[in-house]
Amino acid sequence: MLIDKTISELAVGLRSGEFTSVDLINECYDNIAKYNSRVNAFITIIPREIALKNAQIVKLTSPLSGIPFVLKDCFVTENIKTTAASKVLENFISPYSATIYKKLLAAGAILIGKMNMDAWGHGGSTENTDFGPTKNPWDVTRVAGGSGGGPAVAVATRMAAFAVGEDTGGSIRNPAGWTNTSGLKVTYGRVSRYGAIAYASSFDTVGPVAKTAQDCAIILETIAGVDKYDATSSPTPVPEYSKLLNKNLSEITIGIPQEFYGDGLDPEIKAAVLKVSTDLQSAGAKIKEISMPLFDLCLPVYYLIGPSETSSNLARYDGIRYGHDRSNFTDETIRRILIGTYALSAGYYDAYYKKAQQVRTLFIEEYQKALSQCDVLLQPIMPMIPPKFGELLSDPLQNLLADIYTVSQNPVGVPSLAIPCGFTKSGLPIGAQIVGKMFTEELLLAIGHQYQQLTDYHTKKPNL
Amino acid sequence: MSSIITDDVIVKVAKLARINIPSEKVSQFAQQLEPILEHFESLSKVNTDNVIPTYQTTGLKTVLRQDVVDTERMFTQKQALANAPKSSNGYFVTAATIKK
Repeated sequence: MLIDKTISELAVGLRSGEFTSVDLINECYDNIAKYNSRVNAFITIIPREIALKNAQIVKLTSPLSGIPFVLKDCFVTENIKTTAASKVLENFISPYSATIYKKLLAAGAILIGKMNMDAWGHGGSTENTDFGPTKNPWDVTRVAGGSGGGPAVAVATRMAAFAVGEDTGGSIRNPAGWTNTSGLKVTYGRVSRYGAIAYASSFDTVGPVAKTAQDCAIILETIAGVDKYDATSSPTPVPEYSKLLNKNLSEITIGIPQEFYGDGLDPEIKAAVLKVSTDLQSAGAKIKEISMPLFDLCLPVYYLIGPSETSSNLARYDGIRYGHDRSNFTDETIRRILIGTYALSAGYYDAYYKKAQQVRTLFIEEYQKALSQCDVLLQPIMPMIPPKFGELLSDPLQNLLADIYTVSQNPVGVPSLAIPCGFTKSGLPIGAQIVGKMFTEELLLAIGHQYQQLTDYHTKKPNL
Repeated sequence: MSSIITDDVIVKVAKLARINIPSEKVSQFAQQLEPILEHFESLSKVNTDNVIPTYQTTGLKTVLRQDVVDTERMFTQKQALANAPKSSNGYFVTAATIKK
């Protein structure tokens, strides 16, 4: 299958005339016809004839030219419906486009669809959607992860060559880990969020979902950079990530924070994630055990600040200027709005919201200390294998606890790369994350790329 | 431990958030939020004396733009109203907020 190839291989093939963009588009739509009814990854499929027309006229000006991609349905796209997977926006057609979408179009990439997610990003399983849950292609009785289940499944099943997602507390990494794809949560501010529907403004990040770390590097160098329309975007220069992937591993020390490998972690996942460190060690990297004693507190910090910010962000949905009214929010979204409103309300602000922001400061110091003893941290992504439908939703507290490994990075702002690192005996994918200092995406991508030269987990596909 | 989240709290907070919760679901939300708020209590044990809260992590300060009209991102009146459930003579139509 052509779409099994990496983006750089596709770019070479398009230039040599081995195949055309039309061939790639046709292959993706054939896969959509075959698989989407079984996994429900799309909210909007762009009509095939439109994508084909774009493929016929595309000029090969960048590595992404002529390459079919999808967007999580939280990015606004002029003339194309944007829902955030909520009934509130089921008919919303934005009059403007997100910066990352404009950048990808300018690079010649071809949009073929907009993808299912937990509504507003509220969830880790793509069950909290008004468009039906997305199913895991490795076992369709199980969840695909979330909130970006649709983008990850599209890449895993080759319905698109890559995707762009959004990560507030694991929404790129969690589904990447559960679907055997690679995904990058970028440093806060690395990629413009103009036109990205806000969940929690001080946590939200935009990043790539793809088959390999190298693909993520190519996508990131296209979408990253300061944007005059996003005051939180960083002026830090954007490196040519795809040319910096061959860093010598012997110069790198990988920290293993013990607290991330405690009792709550599935033993098969623990073994697979720790094997990443020994594989990298055999390629020259140094390993160091470290401690992050505040780790347990990341959940209350995340689940106080995130809902507080979302209760404010979602206040704009009044059903007057656009969208349907607030009676259309799901129970999970209502719970988050209630928690946030409570934490911000008079009399509770200091005890909850301000306290969480203070502990956030301690967390930033905790990560700084940990990353002063090593270059990157190796952590699991999810504590368990993808659950069956309904298992998480039936217990709202357990639903939050499942996010323990992916919510500590966003309040700090640090980047994290999710990569496939093995399979359970039952054949379900396992992912690991590599976390670095602020703006060290090039290091994370280099380690991920070299790990993917040593292993072939990332090349495995579900047998749908 | 006495419950933090009573039905009254849910009703009050829902009103602040402009969410209508059907009366039969108020207790359900209270029961679901109680263990979550209890879990948050672990923060109260952390000493945060003299710790400055962090509200954002960009390190950027006072990002300003030129005070000029940016025609690149202006909507026409038609565009601005295109998604409105109800509009009239170029205005959004809202429910009355003042009692006659």
